[in-house]
Amino acid sequence: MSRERYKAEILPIREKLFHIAQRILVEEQEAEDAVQEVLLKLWRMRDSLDKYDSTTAFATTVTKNHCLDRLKVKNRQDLLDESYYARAGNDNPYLQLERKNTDEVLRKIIENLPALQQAIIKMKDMEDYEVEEIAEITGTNVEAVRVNLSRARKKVREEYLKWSSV
Amino acid sequence: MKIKMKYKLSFSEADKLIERYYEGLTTGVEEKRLMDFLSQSNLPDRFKPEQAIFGYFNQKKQKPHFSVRSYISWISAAAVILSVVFGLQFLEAGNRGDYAYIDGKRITDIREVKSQALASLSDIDSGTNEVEESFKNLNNKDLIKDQLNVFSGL
Repeated sequence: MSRERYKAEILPIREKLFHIAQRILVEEQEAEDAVQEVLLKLWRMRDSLDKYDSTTAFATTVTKNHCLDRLKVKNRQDLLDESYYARAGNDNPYLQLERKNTDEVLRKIIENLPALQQAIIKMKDMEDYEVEEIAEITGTNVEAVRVNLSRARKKVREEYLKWSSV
Repeated sequence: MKIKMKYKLSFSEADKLIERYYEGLTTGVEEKRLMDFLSQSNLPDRFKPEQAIFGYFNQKKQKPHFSVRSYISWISAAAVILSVVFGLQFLEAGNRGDYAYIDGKRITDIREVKSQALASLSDIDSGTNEVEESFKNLNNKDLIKDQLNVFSGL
């Protein structure tokens, strides 16, 4: 599926996907993030989208599953956060070993970013997409992408400083 | 003598760009300049986090995603190579022609040639490998013809 067809076939159903997301996740901002994540997912697999009879039906299913996964992760997140920071606080051998490898730490930090921020920072900083292109793909405005990109980058710095100064 | 001096960011310029980077305001070109700046050794300590972060991203950088333009140039390069390869094959095939003389009769139907060849080959006491090889070549020729048709349809 070309960029043009992606724009013509996927972006028009954005609203519909948003409603599905909102029904599952309730909160508007969360639904918005989820939809952008789904759109980025669909963008990445645009080459294989043609094999589905109905891209709308497929996109709907992807959205539902993605939102349900998000709910599950959200319910688990609190527990994860606690253990993550408990480990960061104590200078245990495991942590020392990890700190030796900056790349490993940065990889972990990025992996722990919220999914949408993670997708955006990877596209911008590793895959050389421009903010305008990401906005186009996710059907959002440039400012919204910038906000998420900025949050992601600041978070990476903040977490990196936390780890490197322990 | 230095013919060309590469323009390097000053510390204060780098500070400003880094600030813009964290606001999500830098372009790809500006980030490239920052990367060049940060890859220097002996920078003040305040650049340490960015050195680590940019270094990480730089090493993770994949090949730039295909723009439509580069995609087209790749396609055309591939097309040129393919047409040269197939063109040569075609010339060769054209010289020989897809026919065989069987009992003095010219036969152009490849299937008939194949079945006749099979019949005559089965008479010859040759290794099965040889027979298989020659059939593979026949099939290849068919394949090439098919692909040529596709190409000329472009």
